[in-house]
Amino acid sequence: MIARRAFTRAGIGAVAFLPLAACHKDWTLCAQDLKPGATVADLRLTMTEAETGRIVTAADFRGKVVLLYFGYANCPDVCPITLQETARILGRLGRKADQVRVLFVTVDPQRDTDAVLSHYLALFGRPEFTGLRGTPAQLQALAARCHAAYAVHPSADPARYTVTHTAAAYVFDRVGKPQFICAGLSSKTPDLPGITNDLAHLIG
Amino acid sequence: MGTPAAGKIPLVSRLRRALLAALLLSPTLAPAAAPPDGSPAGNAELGKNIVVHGTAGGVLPCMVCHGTDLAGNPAIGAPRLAGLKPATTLAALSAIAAGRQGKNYVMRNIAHALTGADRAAIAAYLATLGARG
Repeated sequence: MIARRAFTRAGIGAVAFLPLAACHKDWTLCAQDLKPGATVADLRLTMTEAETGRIVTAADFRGKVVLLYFGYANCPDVCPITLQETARILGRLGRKADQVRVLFVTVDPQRDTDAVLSHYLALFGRPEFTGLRGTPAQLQALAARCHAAYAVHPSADPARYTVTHTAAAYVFDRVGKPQFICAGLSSKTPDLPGITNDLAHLIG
Repeated sequence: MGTPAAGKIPLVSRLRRALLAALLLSPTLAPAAAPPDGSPAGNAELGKNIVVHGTAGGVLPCMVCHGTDLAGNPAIGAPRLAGLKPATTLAALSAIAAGRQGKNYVMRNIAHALTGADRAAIAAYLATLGARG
């Protein structure tokens, strides 16, 4: 508690030093970004890229900071909010944003065809967004590496077709090492400056 | 009584004609800001921009949930928007913002965040689209 109060009081000073802090290798993650610990393995995947229809692997994203997210296009709340906030963060990064790739992995590949997925993601207006669609085995393998959970309960009635999934975003550095987990993107008050700052550190 | 010469139409008759002309012409001269339903007309171009791209303040594009054809998406519970009359759109947005209509908190936040000008613009744009097809 005491430490937190001290941090709050030092808040204004800390903001003033952010540009300097950006020069350092180590930094303190914002409160909404968590260290992955052993929860997330190195980025490794094989999937179909929705926009191009070609098979891609983690090697295709080497050299870029990757934000990986599991979701689905018919999501009524968490996915669109997360994508919108991510788009705003990329906007805040300015020219640095082209060093980031946002990989939106559908957990509902049956409904999210390549066309559905690519059209959906295009609405957010960010060229950094890429849709990924896997076979059940490919999806399961990637989710297991992130300890992400998902479940699909299909129904002929679209209103009863149910999809659940982990709402966190996983951030990897340019060589595919997990760096932090974004837990606040779909919260009521996502820390856009804080998350932007954390990504900016990885971009360097 | 002979037929009056063209230049000698009585004053009252001339005034009556002028009044009649003004009344007949008035619908075309009426400002576009007052559509028949009485709601203030919005900027349809601005409305299209919000529908397709959202707002800088973070309001989601309508198309994300209501579909790129704005025909609605039953999987999300998002109704058809294309072709709605402006008054219908404005009433729905007010009711949703006030919590009287709808269950989706994302839509409620959106309705709440949209300014009056945004709402009028969206309403104007949706009305330009075909009601079906």
